[in-house]
Amino acid sequence: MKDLILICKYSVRLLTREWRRFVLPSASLVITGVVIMLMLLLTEGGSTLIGEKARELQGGDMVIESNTPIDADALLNEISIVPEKKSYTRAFTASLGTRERALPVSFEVVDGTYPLFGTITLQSGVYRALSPDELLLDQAGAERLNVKVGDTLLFSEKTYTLAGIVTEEPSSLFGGFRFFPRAFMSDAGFARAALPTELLRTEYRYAYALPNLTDAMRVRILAYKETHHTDITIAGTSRTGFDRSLSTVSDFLIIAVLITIVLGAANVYTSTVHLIASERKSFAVLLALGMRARTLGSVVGTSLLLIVIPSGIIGAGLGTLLFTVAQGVIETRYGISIPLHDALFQGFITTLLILVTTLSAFVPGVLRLRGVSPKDMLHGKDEGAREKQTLSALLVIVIGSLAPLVLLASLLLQSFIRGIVVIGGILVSYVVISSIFVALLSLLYRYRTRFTFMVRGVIAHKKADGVLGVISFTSLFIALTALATLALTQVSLTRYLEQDLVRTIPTTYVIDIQPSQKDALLSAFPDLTVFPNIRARIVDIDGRRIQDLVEAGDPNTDRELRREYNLTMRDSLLSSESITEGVWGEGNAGEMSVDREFAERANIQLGSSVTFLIQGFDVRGTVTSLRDTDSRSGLPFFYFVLSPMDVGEFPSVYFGYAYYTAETQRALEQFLLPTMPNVSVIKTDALAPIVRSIVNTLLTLVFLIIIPPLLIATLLIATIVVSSYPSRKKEGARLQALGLPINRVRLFYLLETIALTLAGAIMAYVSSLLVTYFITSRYLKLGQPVLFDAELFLGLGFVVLFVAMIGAYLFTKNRMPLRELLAYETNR
Amino acid sequence: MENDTVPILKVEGVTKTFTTPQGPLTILREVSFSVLQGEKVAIVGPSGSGKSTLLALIGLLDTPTEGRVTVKGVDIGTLSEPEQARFRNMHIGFVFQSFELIEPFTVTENIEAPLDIRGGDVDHARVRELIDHVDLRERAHTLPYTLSGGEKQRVAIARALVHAPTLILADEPTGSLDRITGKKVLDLLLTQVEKTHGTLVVITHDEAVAERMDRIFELRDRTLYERPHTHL
Repeated sequence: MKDLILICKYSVRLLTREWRRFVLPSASLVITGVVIMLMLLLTEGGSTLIGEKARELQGGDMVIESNTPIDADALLNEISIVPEKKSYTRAFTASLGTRERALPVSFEVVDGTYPLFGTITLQSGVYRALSPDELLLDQAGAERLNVKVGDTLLFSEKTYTLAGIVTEEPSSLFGGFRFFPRAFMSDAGFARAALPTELLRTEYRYAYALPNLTDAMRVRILAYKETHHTDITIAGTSRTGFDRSLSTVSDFLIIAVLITIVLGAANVYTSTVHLIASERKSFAVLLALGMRARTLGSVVGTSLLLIVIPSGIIGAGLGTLLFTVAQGVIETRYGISIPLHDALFQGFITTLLILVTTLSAFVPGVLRLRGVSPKDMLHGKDEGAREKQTLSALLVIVIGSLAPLVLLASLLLQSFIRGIVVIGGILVSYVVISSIFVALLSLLYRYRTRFTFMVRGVIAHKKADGVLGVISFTSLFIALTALATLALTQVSLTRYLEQDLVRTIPTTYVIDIQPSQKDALLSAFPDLTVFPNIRARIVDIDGRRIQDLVEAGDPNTDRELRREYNLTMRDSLLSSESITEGVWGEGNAGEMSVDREFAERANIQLGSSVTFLIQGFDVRGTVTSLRDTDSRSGLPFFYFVLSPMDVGEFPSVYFGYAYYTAETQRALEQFLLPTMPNVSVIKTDALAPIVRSIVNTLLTLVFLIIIPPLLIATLLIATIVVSSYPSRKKEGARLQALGLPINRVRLFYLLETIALTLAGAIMAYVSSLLVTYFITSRYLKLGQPVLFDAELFLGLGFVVLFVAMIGAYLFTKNRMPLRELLAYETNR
Repeated sequence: MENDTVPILKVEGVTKTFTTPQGPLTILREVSFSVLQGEKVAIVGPSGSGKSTLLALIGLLDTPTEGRVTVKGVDIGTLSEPEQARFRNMHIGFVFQSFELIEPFTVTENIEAPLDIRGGDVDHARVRELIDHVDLRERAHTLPYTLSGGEKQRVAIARALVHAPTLILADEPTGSLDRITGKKVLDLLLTQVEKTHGTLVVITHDEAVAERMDRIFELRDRTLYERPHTHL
């Protein structure tokens, strides 16, 4: 009890007297808390939303999808399930237009019971069953066609009245990301169009409301799905593409949060070590007065605890506030309200995680108290433990920090292995970068005599910063490299989309041309180049039964091979293609050309034998060439090109492209609208802004995720600057006493203050150039990346300026006379 | 010892007053004395008598409220801050009680620092010679935190002498050292000052140290009195 009172009394005293030392770690912990809380609320809210909206998004409790009409009711009978309600819809892409313009639209033909769950919200008025001469259009479509409610629209030689503009629909969570605008019409309205269904690539959807869906029913449904290979989904149980995307985003967020946590921990560690280093004499006196080392550790720990809990609570509060702001923005932009669930519980978890973070940093930090010995101190050897610090400290940090961090990562990622892998990955990055930094610094230190006195002094000081300097540099370097890489990639992508791509890309793509329409279309528009497009599934590569291997989860078989591919046939290479291996075929049976990168992924070599399943028939070919494609051309791209001798007889849909002026494009649209409404025209000039907007939105989100680690890394540098200020001030006085004018002393310490940040910024920029070059040239294939971005320079400059301002503020506010400075205790 | 007749240091009517929350506090009043070239002078007095303040005024670390300090014929009160810095670098060598070594610099680098600051080529032979004289050859490339108190003060002495200053100011040079180490350090300081024909002003409250100087001044009641040498 006595000990407890002493610990509380001394820790409060330490905190109140030395509060300045706790400001920066508190700020780091608050930022970490904000990030953790935001991540928890967003992932929890997102999952809840998906769970709650699963039936609406999917269209029903159970949905059967098919490319051909099926008797779905009979299927339900077979598995003895009686639905409460049902709705049949079909979806296809076709052209919709006015007298002036046309555009490809995703049509949804709905029955009277649609939607089973959720509602369709209109800009004005209420949704009702549509009459045969009415249709609905979403906002994007209405804007692009420049129509309003009551206007006339053309579809397959028939006129329809726009009955309403859809602002929200149940199956669209983020409607803003739809590629094509969406239109709704009734069965009768579709029948009125009298469009031959064989011309359309239609997806039939049979949705059911099953309020009493039991586990036994689920089992029967899944068993039927397995045995009949039918595409059946059950709301809330089957993982949709959206679920998987959400999970990927959630994992990405968690990894970003873990990086923030590691940086937060580094900051707490740095501050703890500085606190112990600067208070060594006082601590040694306490030990000399009889305080036990364990009690002393508890005093330091309790004073940290006093900042951790408020930091966690403030972080959680600010995180909740930011979440509500984000909630409002998402609701305004996308009409979706992400629920705020269990904010108190999430706040508790956040504070707990902050505690674990602090613990991971505090343990190795406080172990330095072992170096404090009253005997040494009272004999004046106040730096006695210094030599032990550098090597052993790194080891202690690693071991002492790893256990709680791995535990934390495992909990967040819900997998111990993934926890180890992620923390291991972060650690390896740290160790590699730290080692490079240490090697460079040692090299500079070794040859420091070749530099001027000032530069030599800066090098010596950076060397003297030891492990703390290394951690700060590494943290800042990682954050700045990520930021710079993203910025350069974004600029490169924008340039690619705005300049490089636009120069070469065809102006017009034409999709879904049926064989019966090809000749008529080509005679009206002879400049159109068309390719047949045949759907096929790979069944065998060099004797390996691919579908069986994928089903069995064979680790050497890419899961992507499970899907259907588009094949084509042609006699000649496109201007965008080049043969890398083998020879281009002469049109003989059995010849096949494969994209080189796909071949590497699928383990296909020159001479490999590949068998496809096309409309129930096996088609076999031998790979006679591998080719590369320049994606910048924007020309049609196919993984497989086969000989017309092999696939020429299969009915195929055609895909075309052309370099048309706006006038010809309009003529093409007006030609297709009444006669071939199933054929869609895509104008690439309209496509680029959509792609650019999506890319920019995604990259902006990633930018936002990088900001907290960057802030903490900068705070880490600031911690070092502020903590080392008293000793630097004293050294400045010594240099002045030796004859260095005050302005040069200030310049010297300004250089010393910004040295780490400046070096980090320069090295991060250089590294990001290399990474961006790799990403844009090798991975995205965008050609040469952009090497200079003024905004990025400004951003990096701002970080350096921020640190310089802290240094400048500290050194200029110092008005103490030189005589007093020399008598000044450094630990104040 | 033959002293020049022109004073190398002249302090005339110097008063130093500090402003405190309780009002003005005069530490030194009308202090006057002079030191000739090659002389070794001790300033003694009880704690808080203003010894260090006086040394700071002589060493251009502070400015007097009234009066004039002339070093080598230059009224140091007329110098601007850069000129003062330059003057210190050229003509003054400091030895502090708490050593005041630059922590990230090695022993050699600490000793070279005044020459580095002056600019131009560093006379490495002179630095090596001094390192030998202060018996730190083995520790030449180590950092200060590895040195004992006596070693640190030897580095400080070498640093104070490396640029052959006109005036060496030592503030309690043996104050942080034990008696034996203190004696060795003082011997070294005196030997080196004599070798360079330098002028030494030592602040001390140790009578044994004061007795080894040519003249002794005592600060009492905020002013300075010269007192007779007991061993003469």
